[in-house]
Amino acid sequence: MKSAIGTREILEVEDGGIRLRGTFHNSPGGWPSSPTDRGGMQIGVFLLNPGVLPRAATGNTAVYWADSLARRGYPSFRFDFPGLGDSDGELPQEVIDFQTLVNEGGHASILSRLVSGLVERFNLRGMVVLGHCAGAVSAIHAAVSNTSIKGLILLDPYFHVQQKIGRRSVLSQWKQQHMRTLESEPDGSGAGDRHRLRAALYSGIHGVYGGLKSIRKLMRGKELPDNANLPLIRSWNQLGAGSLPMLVLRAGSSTPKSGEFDYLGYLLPRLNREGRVSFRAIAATTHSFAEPLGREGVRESAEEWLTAHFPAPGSSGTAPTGGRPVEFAELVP
Amino acid sequence: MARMVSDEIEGPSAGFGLNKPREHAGYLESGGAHLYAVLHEVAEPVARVLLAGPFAAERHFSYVPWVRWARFLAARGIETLRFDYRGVGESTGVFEEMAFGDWMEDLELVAGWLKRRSPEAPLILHGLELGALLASKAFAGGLGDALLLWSLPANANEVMRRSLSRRIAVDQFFKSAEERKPLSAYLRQLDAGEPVEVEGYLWSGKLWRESLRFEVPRASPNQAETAWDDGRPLRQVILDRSAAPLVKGSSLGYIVSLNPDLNGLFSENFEWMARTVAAGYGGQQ
Repeated sequence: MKSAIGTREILEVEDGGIRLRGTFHNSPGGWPSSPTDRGGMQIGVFLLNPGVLPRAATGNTAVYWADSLARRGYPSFRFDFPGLGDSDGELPQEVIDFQTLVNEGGHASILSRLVSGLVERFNLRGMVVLGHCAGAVSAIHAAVSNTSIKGLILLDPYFHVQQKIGRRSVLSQWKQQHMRTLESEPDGSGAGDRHRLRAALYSGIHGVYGGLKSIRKLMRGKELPDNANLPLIRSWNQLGAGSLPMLVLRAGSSTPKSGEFDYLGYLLPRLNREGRVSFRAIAATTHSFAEPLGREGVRESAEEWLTAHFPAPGSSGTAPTGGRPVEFAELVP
Repeated sequence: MARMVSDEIEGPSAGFGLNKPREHAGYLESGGAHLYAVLHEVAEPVARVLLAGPFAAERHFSYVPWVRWARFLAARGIETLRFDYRGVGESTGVFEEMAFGDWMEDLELVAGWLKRRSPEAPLILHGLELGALLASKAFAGGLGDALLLWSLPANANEVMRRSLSRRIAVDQFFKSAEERKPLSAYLRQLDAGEPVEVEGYLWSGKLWRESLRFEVPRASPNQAETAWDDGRPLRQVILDRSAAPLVKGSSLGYIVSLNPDLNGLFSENFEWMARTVAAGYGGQQ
């Protein structure tokens, strides 16, 4: 077996007695092939596990993005965190415990050490961290205290603390139960009509429920909800005030529904005007960003943003899409 | 405080001492692409197991327990190899250009590589879901000394249909009424040769049509059977929802059992392997 092929190489890092496994995507051809040749000029991109998924992510999207970014001159790294994918380490039994670990910044120190180690070993100028969902939370936590992290690309970051299923609303529990039924029964022999009826019923109830939540939201005014992750929000504000370049991408399906609190809508306009946060909504994609429009939207946005903020050595510094100007809605979700 | 699940369980079999195997990840060349494989290496293995994983869309749900299973076996003296099919996960290749025959080739290639490491040790094929179908076809062709099947489908279409149902379930809740489509609309699209995206993979109409004909190599073995037609050991297990997310993971991310305690399942199947090896099946005697 080969540990390296073409532009990919498997990496193994020991952190606190645990072996973490990942993949390095090098730039093909014209880019320096040895760390010493890089001269500390290149910016790398580090891609975190999206939630509990292996480092390839849904539909190999992370592989696709890493390959694409490496071709643009940004050496890219994907690693499995402890207990996930191919890495060693323990993992909580329940998802909620994993989420709690991440929300409290439990992966931030590992991420920080990995980034510092890779920047040193590959003689890079620094690293941009691309985090998706829970990965975005870890990226925000880590960037506060690590100066090697030069920028963040955040896909559907969340700023709340999840609740155990038993503590969720009756509607939320019913929805999940219904989803499981749908997943286990193909829609044949009349079952499809039943499912559509249930989905329509759900939509109706959800509309009423959303209306009630909207009233509650109005009464609350501009306060953050009770389940806001305040330490994370403090870190976010700190990064924004410190002018760390950040690109936030939101999937169309992740747009807050009626009555839901819009954290990005709340947080983005409040950042220091010196902040360098860009926002883009990618329509026609779900939270996984794995649909063709989602994966292309992320790739294109990331490449444009990287080119604008961190031009790769030897590049013209213009956007890769035929010189079209970068069109990001600065601070306006 | 989070409850941690350890891989350590009560040792089920004498003679299979627990050890700390090395894991090597690497690439093997297949059909112009590179297959990503992870070897759970054992110094003097009593047997080797090739793990043939589930269909593309299921990979990321089942990954954690699948890796735990490989480690469970290696820690007990059975060298284990797991891999990604072409176009899936960490392997190279373009998914939409693949056919089931390509993934059969992948399985045969990695099985050959594993066998060559020490021909004297018996080779057990173990497939999960689509992997069970591929493994049973390879076994029918004479590959391997014993066969373990988890959730064997009757044909590949059964697997694809399940993934498609899940896609429809997601659409029901996350897409507007105009964007939602019933199964019949997707089927028409596939029949017309148009690709359909499911969990980030583009399914071609050709793959869908081929899945209807990609069946188990003989009358589906039932759970009571303990041997293949030629006498080689066989075990089939139908996994239920308690084995999620090894099977039946949720696309919604509401996988409550991220890392469930599957030690009972693992122990039972390991013991079957241990008995099979002890009975002297396979390998160069």
